[in-house]
Amino acid sequence: MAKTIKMRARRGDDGVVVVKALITHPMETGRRQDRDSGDTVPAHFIQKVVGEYKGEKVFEAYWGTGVSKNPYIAFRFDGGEKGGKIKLSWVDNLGQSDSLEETIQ
Amino acid sequence: MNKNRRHFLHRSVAALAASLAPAALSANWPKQAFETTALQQALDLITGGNVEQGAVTLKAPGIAEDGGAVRVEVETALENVESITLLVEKNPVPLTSQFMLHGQSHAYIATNLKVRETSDVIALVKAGGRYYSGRRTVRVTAGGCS
Repeated sequence: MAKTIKMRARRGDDGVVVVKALITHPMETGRRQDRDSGDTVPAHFIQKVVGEYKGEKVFEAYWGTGVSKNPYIAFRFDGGEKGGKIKLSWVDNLGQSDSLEETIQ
Repeated sequence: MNKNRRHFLHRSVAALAASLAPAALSANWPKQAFETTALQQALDLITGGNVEQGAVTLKAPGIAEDGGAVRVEVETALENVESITLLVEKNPVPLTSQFMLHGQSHAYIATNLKVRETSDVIALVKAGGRYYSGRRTVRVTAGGCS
């Protein structure tokens, strides 16, 4: 699968790590009709997103179809060091998934 | 015979793995709340009916040109925050997302939500076993769920 996650993690002077991420995903509700065929487009959406630092969860989200297409998330956590790795992963309702590791700046 | 047996075993293991994987991954996914189509019902299901107003800072635009992606930001000074939940009153499914906080997490979250029509956006914060809420109306000039 092509890369679906773009992420930036930055540690501020206050020691707080700010993480911002964009995920490429259709987030289909299952209610939309295809413009050409008129068929209902099946639901296809991310259900779970997890962020980990040194094996510990620092972010965890459960999503339904109300999160926008190509979701954006931002979160903050303490204790992250510059140069440390933050890992973000997602799983959708069809069992597809992706993950990415990024260095804290 | 042996070959067939192995093939059968191989297939059953694969089938078992496939049937287990999605369930395991979404074990904590609040299925019932995500299937609820009425706001009050969803709120009751999540909170058990006890919600206090205030203590939650919810930022959302007063007017959204594109209901497909409305930036919502939640923050609170409450201590021992366990989760942040975002709902959109008039969406077909009001519950949009639930964020679980862990030891090092700050009680802050930002994301983009679909807001189908002019509607209230509600943020629920669970802290110390109690629920607090914040609410803002977003006026939508173009639809979000089409």
